Amino acid sequence: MKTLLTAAAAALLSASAAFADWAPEGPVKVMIGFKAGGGADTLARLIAEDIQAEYGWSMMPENVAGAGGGVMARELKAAAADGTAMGIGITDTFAYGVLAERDPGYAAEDFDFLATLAGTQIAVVAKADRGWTSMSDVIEAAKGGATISFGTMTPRLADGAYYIGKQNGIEFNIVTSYKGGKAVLNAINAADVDVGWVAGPQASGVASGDLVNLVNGEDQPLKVSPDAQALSDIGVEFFFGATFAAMAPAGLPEDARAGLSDSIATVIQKDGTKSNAFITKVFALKVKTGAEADAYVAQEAADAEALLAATSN
Amino acid sequence: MNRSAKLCDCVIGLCGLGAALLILLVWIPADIDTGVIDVWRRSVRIGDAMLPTFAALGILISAAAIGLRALLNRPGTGLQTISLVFLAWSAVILALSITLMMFTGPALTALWYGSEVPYRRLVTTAPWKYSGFVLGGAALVACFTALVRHRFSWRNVLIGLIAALLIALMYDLPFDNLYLPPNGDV
Amino acid sequence: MGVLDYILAGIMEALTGNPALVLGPIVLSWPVLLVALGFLTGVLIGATPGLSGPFAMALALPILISIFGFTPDALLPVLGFLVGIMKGATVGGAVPAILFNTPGTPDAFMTTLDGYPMAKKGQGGKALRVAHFASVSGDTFSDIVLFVCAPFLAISIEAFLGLPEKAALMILSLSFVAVVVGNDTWKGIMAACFGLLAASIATGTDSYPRLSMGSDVLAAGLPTIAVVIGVLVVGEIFTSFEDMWTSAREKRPEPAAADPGDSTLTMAKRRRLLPFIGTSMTIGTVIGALPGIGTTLAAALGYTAGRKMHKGATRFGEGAPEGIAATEAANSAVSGANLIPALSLGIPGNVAAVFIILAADTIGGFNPGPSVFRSTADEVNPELVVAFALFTLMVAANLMNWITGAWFMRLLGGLIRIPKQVLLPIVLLLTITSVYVQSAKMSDVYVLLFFGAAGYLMRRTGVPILPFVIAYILTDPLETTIRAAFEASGSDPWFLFGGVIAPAFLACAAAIVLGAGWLRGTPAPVPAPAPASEKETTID
Repeated sequence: MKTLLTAAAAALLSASAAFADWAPEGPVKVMIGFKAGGGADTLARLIAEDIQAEYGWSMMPENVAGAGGGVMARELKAAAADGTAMGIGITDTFAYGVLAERDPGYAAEDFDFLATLAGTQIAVVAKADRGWTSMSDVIEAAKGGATISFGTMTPRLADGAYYIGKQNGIEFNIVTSYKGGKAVLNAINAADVDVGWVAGPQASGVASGDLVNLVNGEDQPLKVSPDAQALSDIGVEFFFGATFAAMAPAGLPEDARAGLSDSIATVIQKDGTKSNAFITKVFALKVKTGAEADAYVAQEAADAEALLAATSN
Repeated sequence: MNRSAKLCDCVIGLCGLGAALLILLVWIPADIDTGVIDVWRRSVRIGDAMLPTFAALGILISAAAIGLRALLNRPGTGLQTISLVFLAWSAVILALSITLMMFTGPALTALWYGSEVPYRRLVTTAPWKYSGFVLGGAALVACFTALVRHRFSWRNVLIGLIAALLIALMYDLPFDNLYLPPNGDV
Repeated sequence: MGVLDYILAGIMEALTGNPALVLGPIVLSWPVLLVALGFLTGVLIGATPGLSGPFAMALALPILISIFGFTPDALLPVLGFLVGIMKGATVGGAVPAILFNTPGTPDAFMTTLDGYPMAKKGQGGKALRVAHFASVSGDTFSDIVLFVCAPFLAISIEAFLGLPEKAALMILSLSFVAVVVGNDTWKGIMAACFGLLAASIATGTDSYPRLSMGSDVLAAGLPTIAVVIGVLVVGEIFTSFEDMWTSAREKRPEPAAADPGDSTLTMAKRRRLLPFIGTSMTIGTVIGALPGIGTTLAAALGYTAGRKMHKGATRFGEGAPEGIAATEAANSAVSGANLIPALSLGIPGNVAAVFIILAADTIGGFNPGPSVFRSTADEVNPELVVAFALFTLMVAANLMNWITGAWFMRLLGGLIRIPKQVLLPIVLLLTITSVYVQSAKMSDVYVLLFFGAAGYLMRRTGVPILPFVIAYILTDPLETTIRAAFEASGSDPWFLFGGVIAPAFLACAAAIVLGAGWLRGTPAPVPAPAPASEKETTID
C-alpha cells in the first residue's frame, strides 16, 4: 500500500513537474471574442500580460469580435491544437449562443475549456429616485397601469426580462438594442429606460445610493448589495450572470492543456497581478479548470435549453 | 456643362442605380435574417434590414437625381481624369509588395531550415520576422516613387529599405506583443 | 461632487494623474508630455508641404493605441496627443503658405495671398508672427467658447430631449452635413448613404451578422479605423500619386524660400490687428460649431470681412498683415468650436473631431455625448473628469502655442524639404503597417486598400468624403437610438413624430435637403483643377 502511494505520489510529482516544464512552441495567440475596450478585452489583455511576466511566454492578444463571441469560436476551432492558440470569451457563447442560432458553425465539443475566470455582478437596476427598492415594487407599479421599459443587451437577457414579466402576469416594453451593460446603465441614468440589466458597472452607483439593484441575477449574493431580492422571490428559476472563460481547440495534448490552465489559474488568483486586481475590482473570481470547466459549460447549456423552452411561446 | 462631366454624372447615376437595386433586391433579402420589421414573441421591433434598406433607397434616389440632372444637361460638379494605366500599375505594385510581404519569410525559412521549422514558430525571431515586411515595404516605396517619377533608381530602393527597416524597428523594439505584417496571419 | 470639484479633479487628473517623470514636487504627467509632443509633431507636419493635420492624426491614432493599449490610463495621453496635433498643424500650416507660397491645406490658400507678398518683401518673419498671433488668439477664443457651451448644451439636451428627439437631432445633423459639404447636394446624400450602408455590415442585433455574406472576416465587422483612414488618407495618397504621375515632372520647381528677415511685431501693431482678429474669430467659432462646414469657408468669410474693414495703405492681396490675421484667426477658431457638437452630442463635425471620437470609442471609458456632462451629487462621473481633463490639456496646448509656437514656426521654415514623391509612398507604408499592428490581420489591410480605392474614386467623381465618414461614425448611435425609441414606445409606428421637438427637427432636415436642392439648382462651378505640380495633399 505504501509503495503504491509513493508510486502514485511520484507519478503525480513527475506529472506536475512535466506540466511546470511545459512551454508553448512559439508565441501563443490569444483570441478575444469581443471588441477592444470592453470588460472581456481588458481581462484577456491583462491575463496575457501577467502570463508573459510570470512565465516568460510570448502572448499575442488580438480581437476577433462578432456574433457574441461566435466569430472567435469559429476561428479558434480552426486553429492548431498545440497550445499556440487560445480564446477568451464568455461561456454564454458556447451555451445559449449555440442553441439560439440556426447554424452557429461550432459546438461546445469543439473546444477544451481551460478555465473559467470570473463571474459578472448582474442585476436589474433602476435609479434610486424612482422609489423602487425591489423588483416586486416595479411589478406592482406595472400592475397598477404604468408602462415599464426594460433595457437589455443580449438575447438571453431579453428572454430573461420577458420571462420575469410572464411569470408575474405583466408585459414590459423590452428594449433589446443596447450593446453592453454600460450602454444600458447610461440609458437608465438618462431616463431613456425605466429599468435594465447591468452586469457590474453599476456597483459604484449602488454603493453611493444613486442606483438600486432591484433583483440579483446571479446564483450567489452580489458583493455591493448582498441583500438584493432573489430571482426566486419573483418566480424565476433561472440565473442570468455571465462567466468569462478561456478555451482552446479540442484535442489539445494533455500537458499543453494543463500548462495553459495552470498558468491562467495561477495569475488570476495571485495577489498583486494586474488581472487579479481588475477582476476583484469589477467582477468576482470564479476559477474552475479542466474537467470542472467543461462540466460548467455543459451545465450552462442545459440551463439555456430550459430557458429557451420556458420562453418559446 | 462639358461632355466629360456629363458622362461622369451619367456613369455615377447608372452605377448608383444598379448598385442600389442589387443591394435592395438581392443582397438585403438574401443576407439579412430579420426583415425591415421584426416580430419577435408578440413584440414588434425594428429589424436589421431597416437601416440598410433606407441607405440603399437613399443611394437609389440620389443616383437617379444625379443621372437625370446630367441627362437634362443641368451642370453638375466636374470630373477629374482617371487614368486606367495608372490604376493598373498601382494594382500591380500593391499586389507585388503584398505578395513579397506574405511569402518572403516562409520562403527564406524553407530554404534555410528545410521543412522542419515552420515560419509560424519564427514570427518572433529576428531576422526572420523582419524579412517579409522589409522586402515588401521597400518594394512598395521604391516602386511607387519610381511610378510617380517615371524613373527607377537604386537610390529609391535604398530609401525604401531604410524606411521599411525604421518602421519595423519603431514598432518591434518598444513593443513585445505587436506583429508586423504578415506575422499575425501565419 | 460639485461642478468646481469636477473641474479641479479634471485639472489634477491631467496634470498629475499619470506621472511620467517625478522630480521632487514637480510632476510631469503622460498626458501633458503627449500634448507637448503632439503639438510639436503637429507644427512639423503642418509645416511640411504635402502633409496636413488630419494625416498626422490618422497615422498617430493606431500607433498611439498600440503604445498605450486599451486601459483607461490610455485615454488622456492619446486624446492629448491628438489635440496637440490639431493645434500644432493649424499654426504650422501657415509656414509653407507664407514662405513657399504652397498652401498645405485649402484654407491656408487665403494665407498665401498676403503672406507670400510679405515674405517677398523681406517680411516673412513678421508675417509668421502675425499668423501665429492671429491663429493662437482665434484658437484660444474658440476653446473658451467650447468650455462654456459644451456642458450647457449637453445638459439641456439630456434634460429636454428623450430618445425620439435625440434620434431626430442626429438625422438633422447628418442631413446638414450631407448637404453643406462639397457643392453637390445629391452627391453628398449619396456619400452619406454609402457610409450608412458600409457601417451596417455585420452590426445589428440579430445573431446572424447582417450583410456579412457568410464570411468570418466580414462577420467581425469592418475595422472602423481602417475604413476611415482608407477613405481619408489612402484615397488622398492615390489621388496625389496620380497627379504626380500625370504631371510627370520630377520635382516642382522649388519656390525660393523667402528669407524670414524682419520679425518684430510691436504691441501697437498687434493692437491694430485686434479688430480683424476679433471679427474673424467670431466668424470661425460660429462656423465651427455647425457640423460639416469647415475651415475653408471660415477662412474665406474671415478674409472677405477683413477686406471690407481694411482701410490701410497696403491693400489686401499685396502683403497686408491684416489679411493674414483675418484668415488665420478665422480658420483656427474653427478647431475648438468643432468639438462642441462632438463632445456634447457625439456628432463629429470635421475630420479632427472624427479622430477624437474614434479614439474615445476604440479605447473605451469615455463616450462623447450628453451623458459625459452628467454630474450627480454623490457618485463620481469619471467621464466628466475626463472631459475637464481634456479641457485642461487644450489649455496646456494653447499655452505651449503662445510661448513656443512662433519660435518653432520660424525654426521649421527652412527645414522640411522632402519631396512628396518620396514622402507619400513612405506614408502609405506607414499607414498600412499601423493598421496591421492593431489587429494582426491582413484582412484589415485589404479593407484599408478597398476603402482607399473608394476614397480615390469619390474624389475623382466629386463625391464628398466627409459625409461618408461622419455617417459611418454616426450609424451605430443613430440606429441604436432609433431602435430603443421604437421599443420603448411600445412599438408605436409614429414614435418619431410625438411631441413638438422631434417633428420640428425632422421638418428642418427635410427643408435643408429639399431647399438646398432647389436653391442649388445650379451648383457653384468647381474651379478647374490646378496643375498637379501646384496641388497639395489635403484631406477633406
